[in-house]
Amino acid sequence: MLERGKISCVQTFYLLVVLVSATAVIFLPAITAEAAGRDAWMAPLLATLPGIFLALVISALGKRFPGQTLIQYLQAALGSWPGRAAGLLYLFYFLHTNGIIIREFGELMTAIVLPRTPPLVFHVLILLLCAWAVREGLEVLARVVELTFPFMIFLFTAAILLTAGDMKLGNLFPVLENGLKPIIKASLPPIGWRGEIILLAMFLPYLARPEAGGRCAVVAVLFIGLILTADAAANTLVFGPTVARLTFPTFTLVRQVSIANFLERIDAVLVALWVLGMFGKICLFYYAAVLGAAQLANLRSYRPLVLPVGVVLAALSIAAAENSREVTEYIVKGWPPFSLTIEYIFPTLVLAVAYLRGVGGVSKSPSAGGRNPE
Amino acid sequence: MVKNKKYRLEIKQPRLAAGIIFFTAKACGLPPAVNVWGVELKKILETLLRLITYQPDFDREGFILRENEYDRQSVPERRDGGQKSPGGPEGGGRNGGGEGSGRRTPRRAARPRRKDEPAGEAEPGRVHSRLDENRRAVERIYGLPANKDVILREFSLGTDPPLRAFMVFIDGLADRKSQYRLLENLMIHCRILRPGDVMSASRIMTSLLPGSQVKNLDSFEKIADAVNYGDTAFFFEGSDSALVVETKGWEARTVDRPETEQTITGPQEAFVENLRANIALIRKIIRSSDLYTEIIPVGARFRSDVAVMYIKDLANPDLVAEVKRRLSSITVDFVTDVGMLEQFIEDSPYNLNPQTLATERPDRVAAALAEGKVAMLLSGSPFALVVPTTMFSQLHTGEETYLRWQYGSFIRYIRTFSFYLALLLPGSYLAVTLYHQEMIPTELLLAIAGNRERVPFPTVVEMLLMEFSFELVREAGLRIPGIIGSTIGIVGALILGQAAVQANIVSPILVILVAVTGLASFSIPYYSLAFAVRIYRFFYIAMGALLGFYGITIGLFIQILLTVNLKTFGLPYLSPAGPRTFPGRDMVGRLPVFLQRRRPDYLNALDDVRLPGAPRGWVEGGDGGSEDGSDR
Repeated sequence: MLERGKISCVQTFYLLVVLVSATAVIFLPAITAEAAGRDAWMAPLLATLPGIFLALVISALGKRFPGQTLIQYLQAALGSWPGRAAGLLYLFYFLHTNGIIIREFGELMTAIVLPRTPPLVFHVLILLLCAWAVREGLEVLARVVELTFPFMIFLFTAAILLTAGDMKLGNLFPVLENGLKPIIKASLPPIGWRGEIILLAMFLPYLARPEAGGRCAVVAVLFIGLILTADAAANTLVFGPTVARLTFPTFTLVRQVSIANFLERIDAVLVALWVLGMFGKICLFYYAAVLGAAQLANLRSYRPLVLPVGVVLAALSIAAAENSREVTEYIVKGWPPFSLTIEYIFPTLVLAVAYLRGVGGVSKSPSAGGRNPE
Repeated sequence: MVKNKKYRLEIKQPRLAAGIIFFTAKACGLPPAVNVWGVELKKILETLLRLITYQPDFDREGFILRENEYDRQSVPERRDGGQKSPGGPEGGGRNGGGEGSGRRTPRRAARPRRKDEPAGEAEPGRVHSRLDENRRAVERIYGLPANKDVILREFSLGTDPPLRAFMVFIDGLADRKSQYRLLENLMIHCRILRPGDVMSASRIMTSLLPGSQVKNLDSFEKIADAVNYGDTAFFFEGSDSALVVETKGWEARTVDRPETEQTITGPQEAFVENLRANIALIRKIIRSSDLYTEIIPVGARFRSDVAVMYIKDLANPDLVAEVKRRLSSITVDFVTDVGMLEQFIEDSPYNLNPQTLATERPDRVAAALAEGKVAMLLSGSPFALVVPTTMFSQLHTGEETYLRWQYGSFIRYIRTFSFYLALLLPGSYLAVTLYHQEMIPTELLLAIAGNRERVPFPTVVEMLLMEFSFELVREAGLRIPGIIGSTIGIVGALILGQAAVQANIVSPILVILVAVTGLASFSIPYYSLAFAVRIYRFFYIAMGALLGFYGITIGLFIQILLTVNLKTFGLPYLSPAGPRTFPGRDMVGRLPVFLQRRRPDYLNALDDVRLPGAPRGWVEGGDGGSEDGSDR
């Protein structure tokens, strides 16, 4: 068995929330505001529906192929070689997306926190730490996220509430100025972001009770929707439509905070905690890539792959884009079609194919799940 | 193809590792097999290599504290999965694999060996029926004419006819008064017996010796063990066994107030160096026949006794078995304190955090036992080791339970806050002043800058200087003889504080900061944990100075990774927070005792329920305090 650890439903919830919202909280308000203007806060809300759909698809796939991860049941559902090709595609998705995430992280760190440090330093440092965490396995990863999650939520809530003084309700009106179309257009990136929960398919078999995974994922998607909506709404309430012109609106928002003229500009603290969230996100994608590669190659352990994949990621994070603007452009234009295909359409197709071919046993009792047949 | 690849991966790495070790050892000029240092170096290198290379068999968890039957049945309904609730058969399989791994084979503790054991004609090491043979044997064992504090006293029993006998004891360890009474009985009062009776050792034991604990032993090894621990051995003519009477009575400290774990409320007793007295201190709190005390001898050459205490129908039997297994597998010359014992039995000796809890308070041990933990007491050590322990229980003291819950929770919140202060304050100060100046209000920033204007060092140097001086004061304060101890306060406060500021070596705000940090670290109740925090603090200073808040986050991540992996006797060190289990309402905030109905879930005690009935039965309605505090 490649992974011995077991994680609980609550830990899955934490992992998924951190996975999606770590970057979304920072980048999404500007991206949605660009298309939807004042109605940006509706986009993440709208994106929740496809998220729930995806969670159910993953859960159905997990029930159909108990004890197998995405990479493994792709082969079972599509046949050996097409399945492997699809697995390679997913590996590329994990790696490339992670490269972009690391790049976003580095861009933000150089822009906000330590301007004179080369971004590669951030990339390599975070990758080294993540390599360590990934080596230790899913259980440790889950515990780290579990421990840091309350702090992140606390600080995020505090930051939003402390800006309440600067909020102007008028910024939200008029609602639906240009109709629904721009909102639907704006909701594409959030849908892509929400689709990152496809990673659940990589660790669903390692849940203590895999059959409950779908429920946890749905709750997580709803919670993510809440966070992102609150985030977008707070940004719009404070800045109005100008959000679209800010690179990192949430940080600009937190900069407004001044506690009793004593603690000002707590954005550095927010960054510090946000970095913990980024660790979780990067680690999960990293883990998925390493585990997937090991399963694709039928290795007995994924640990020998950890460091090499880390090197690939470090290179990819630099090569993925030329500059910060290109990263944003990619997220707005290139990312939605790519991610929607990989995250939503493909799993649905796999489920349909598996259903039509009659592969995978629904008859197997779901409580026997969680055992990797390897 | 694929199979080949797998095979190569496994074989190649150890060879490579061995090669690297060999060449590194050679490069350092150390013949790896002969030189002790070379062997040490080899071990270190192997450990390092193990960190970065592929390990085929990566079984970290030799022992997992699993759920008991009660939990296994009720858990799936009660909460979601939890950490350790994989289905029954699966868990069994995992445990079996862990126990079966050859890495930790239990070994029996080596018995004390003596080079010159008496070689009697019939059986070596057995008591002979001729008194003179026995006498010679004893003289050989103790090297008698030369060894002055072993006393061999010859006498005759006052029976008719007189029976020759002698007794052996160690001067100073044995209690004189009880010996007088024993001799008095044997020499004078035994005249009441009818003449002509056969005087065997067992007959004397049943009717003549007034000692409350008498053993009839026939092996010199066991007799010597007992005599070495203050007992008195009697040998009689014609008996092929000796009587060992319990006469322990050496000079010992009386039970005193706790020195390191002082509290204002609650019992004010502390353990002493006497094992029996310590056990009695616990027993008198837990008056139960279910409180078991098992003695396990430790120490290959010089034996010490470890008392393993647990409550039979509470403590998880697997846990008790594991504690005993670890204790009996120790091979060590001798142990003098539980601090040494701790290092032999803890799960990860290379981690900074302590994984056991040493306490000198019997009430605290009793409370731990009542939760289902296991305590270890060592003869000669005024501390008890409690396992398993979590970081949260290391941040507790007994006092909070004795206080009303609001006060207890308040203290704990203060303490948790000060834990973070002690850990992060200096590092965060460096991060803020070096990288994130915009966080400081302008006036304060100007004040800091103005103070620092005349200080010639960078802030990091300043900080390290002050932290070092503080550690120095702390260490010196411990070592300094008591009479001049008060000077250390003056030296510390005056010279290091005021004079350093006046001499422009440090800025005043730094003095405040270091003082606050010091205070915070003193408020961590467990000494070992405070040590870990002190060391981690320097790590955070380095990280904060290097990379600002990003560095501190990295540090936090590293520390969390390190501690989240820790196990103490099969129990995750950070439970109930990570992994989250049912916390039992006694983690940081403490709810009223009458609401703590369950024992900590992570301990997997045999009986989960602490308060079965109505905890406040006198309240109308019966259940005392409901969760919302309303008692109608």
